[in-house]
Amino acid sequence: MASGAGGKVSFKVTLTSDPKLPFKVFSVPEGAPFTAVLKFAAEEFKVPPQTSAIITNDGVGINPQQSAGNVFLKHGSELRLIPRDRVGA
Amino acid sequence: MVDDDSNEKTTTIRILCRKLVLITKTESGIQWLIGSPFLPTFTIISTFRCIHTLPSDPLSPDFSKESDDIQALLPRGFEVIGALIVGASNLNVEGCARDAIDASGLMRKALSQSETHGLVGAVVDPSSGDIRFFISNSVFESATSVVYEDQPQKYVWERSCVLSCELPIKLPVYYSLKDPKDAEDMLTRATEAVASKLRDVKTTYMLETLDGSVTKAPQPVIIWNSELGLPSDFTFGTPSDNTSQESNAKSLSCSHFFSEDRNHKSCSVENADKIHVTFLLATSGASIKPTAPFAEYIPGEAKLLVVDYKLKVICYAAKDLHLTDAVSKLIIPGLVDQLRSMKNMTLSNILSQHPKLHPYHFNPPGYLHPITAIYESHYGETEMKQVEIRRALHLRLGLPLDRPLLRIASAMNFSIPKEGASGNILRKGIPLLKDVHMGIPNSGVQGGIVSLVQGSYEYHHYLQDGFDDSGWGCAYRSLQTIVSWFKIQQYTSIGVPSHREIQQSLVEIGDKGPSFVGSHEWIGAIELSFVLDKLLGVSCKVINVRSGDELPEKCRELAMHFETQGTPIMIGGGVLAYTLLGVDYNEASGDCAFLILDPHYTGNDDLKKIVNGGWCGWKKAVDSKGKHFFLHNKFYNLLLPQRPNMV
Repeated sequence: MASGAGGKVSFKVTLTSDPKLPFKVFSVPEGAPFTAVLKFAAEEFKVPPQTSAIITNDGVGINPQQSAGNVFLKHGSELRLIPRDRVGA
Repeated sequence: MVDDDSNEKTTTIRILCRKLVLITKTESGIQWLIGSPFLPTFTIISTFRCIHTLPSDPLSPDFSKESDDIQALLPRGFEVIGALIVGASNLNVEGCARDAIDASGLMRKALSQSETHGLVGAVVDPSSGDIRFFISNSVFESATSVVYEDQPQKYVWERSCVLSCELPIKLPVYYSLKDPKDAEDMLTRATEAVASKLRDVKTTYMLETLDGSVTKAPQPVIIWNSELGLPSDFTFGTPSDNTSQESNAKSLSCSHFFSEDRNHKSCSVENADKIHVTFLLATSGASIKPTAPFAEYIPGEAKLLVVDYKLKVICYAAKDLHLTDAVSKLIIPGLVDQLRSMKNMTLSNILSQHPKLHPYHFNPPGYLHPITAIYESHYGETEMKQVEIRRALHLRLGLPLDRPLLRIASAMNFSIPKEGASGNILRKGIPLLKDVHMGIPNSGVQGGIVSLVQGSYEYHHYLQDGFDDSGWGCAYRSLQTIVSWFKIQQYTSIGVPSHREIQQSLVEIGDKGPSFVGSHEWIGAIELSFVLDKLLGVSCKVINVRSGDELPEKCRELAMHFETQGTPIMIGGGVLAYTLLGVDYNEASGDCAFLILDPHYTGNDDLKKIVNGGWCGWKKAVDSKGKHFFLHNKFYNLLLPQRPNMV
């Protein structure tokens, strides 16, 4: 997935918690915060964004506090949406 | 091997270092062999790789650069006694050995060590790995016997000690503004002035032991300059038998400070007996010739630069060495060498940027003796030039290039301990338990391969340091265990963060709102990855499984993680966080067990209680009663911190 004209980047995000492994493709401006991608993906898959996280296909964690363009350069475009564990008991 | 006693001293080569050949077989190169005048002539204690060679020939050392480096690196009391060459195949073995011996002779000369000395030349055949040894002691001949010593630590440290000396110096350097190059000359002159001052008539040296455990420590010994021997004499005489009445400093040896009984202490650098030397200058007293006070005025514009050095030297000596010799032939030359090394490091950018040079002493893994490295602390440890310096050191010492082993955090401390010095002591003065998994019972997996965390970690759990996080803090505690691993392995020098500091990090990166700080909110693997990234710059891999039942399938991947990365793993799922320290996995049968360190433990740091209660133990995915350790209807996230590839 190449970055298109007008400074946009595309990501293919797969929902791993669903055995059918559905995916969606999103295109966002390079400078957009990656949190926007997380939010869109979560909404599309109808899961709460606060309890979701995005990792690469190799399992590398992505800090969403960077630009979409940065994430694209560092990690590519194949990503996964996973649920966040919250543990404490 | 049975040696003929008459030949014992002349041709037996004794090898103490475990790993003699540092150069891989595909390269060719030369290594220096290190010995000591206090041990028998052909005793090889360690080896350094020669890293500065002529561009045209990897077997031709650049003696000037090599000697500068080794002068700074090798403590006095050790010396170059030979060289080892790994050459191309089908080489002329004897010719190579002669080259090695010649090179080591030139190196000794460059280091101002005496030239009449038996030298060892070793040649490694790259295809077979065989080493052939030759010696040159007035004649060149093949070594008749080579002995690999069984207890090298004991051999080196049983009858020896370490002398240390610290000397802060402030050098005033006046230079003319019209001629900036003047500054370099002035620095050189100032340095030489200090070097000669160390042997000034009015200097005095005070020697004392640092061993706090000795109940009746002997009084410090004072040595006046007039009692010191000539420095040019390279030999170290042993004292004749002195009667017990003699307390004249001139006849005392290093063993004066130490008791005979060493049985309770194992021999090593850390446990070696230590003598601290303090340099004193008697400034009062009659001057040589009486003068009236006067002031001198030299017209012209000049600027003053104050160069600040903190010299720290250590030396190795046999216990029966005279204290006066120790000062005159080891300490003073050591101080002068270090002073000149630091001057050379300062010279090139004396005006532009004032480097803050600090010597540090290290005990690198695999080495029987300490080494000294001079680091520049201006821009911190991760600064490019410092990384380059450490990489070069790692290369020279044959250390792996992918992990930090010579960081300031692991430097040895030879100073006089101050009252209440703590070093290893953490919060509230109680050290935490480390590596609680050592010695626990077997996992019960038949025929499996065990893959464990590599290196050390501290056990963090509920209620530690009097902080009540019971019921909410388990993921925080697991994170603390992981950070402690990175700290102990020297990837970071930050302290293990508190719950509040962890929460603060998450707010700072925008993952949580400000009200998060001080709350009892739960976090999980993803938050841990954010904090590790922010506080340590460490990246992580995340394994997500939909059900706890899938975890055994991940065993191969987990085993691979422990083999290659070796970091502790955090497991978050259901409502519980665990720290995973290893897996025992039988690939054929699929049988597996997980070494779990449980942060939910609320008791005190009693190792027996922790192990017997199963708070650190092997858990099978399904135990003998059919009970599942991981929940089948919950998803799990595993956080796998990645070891940064850096020195």
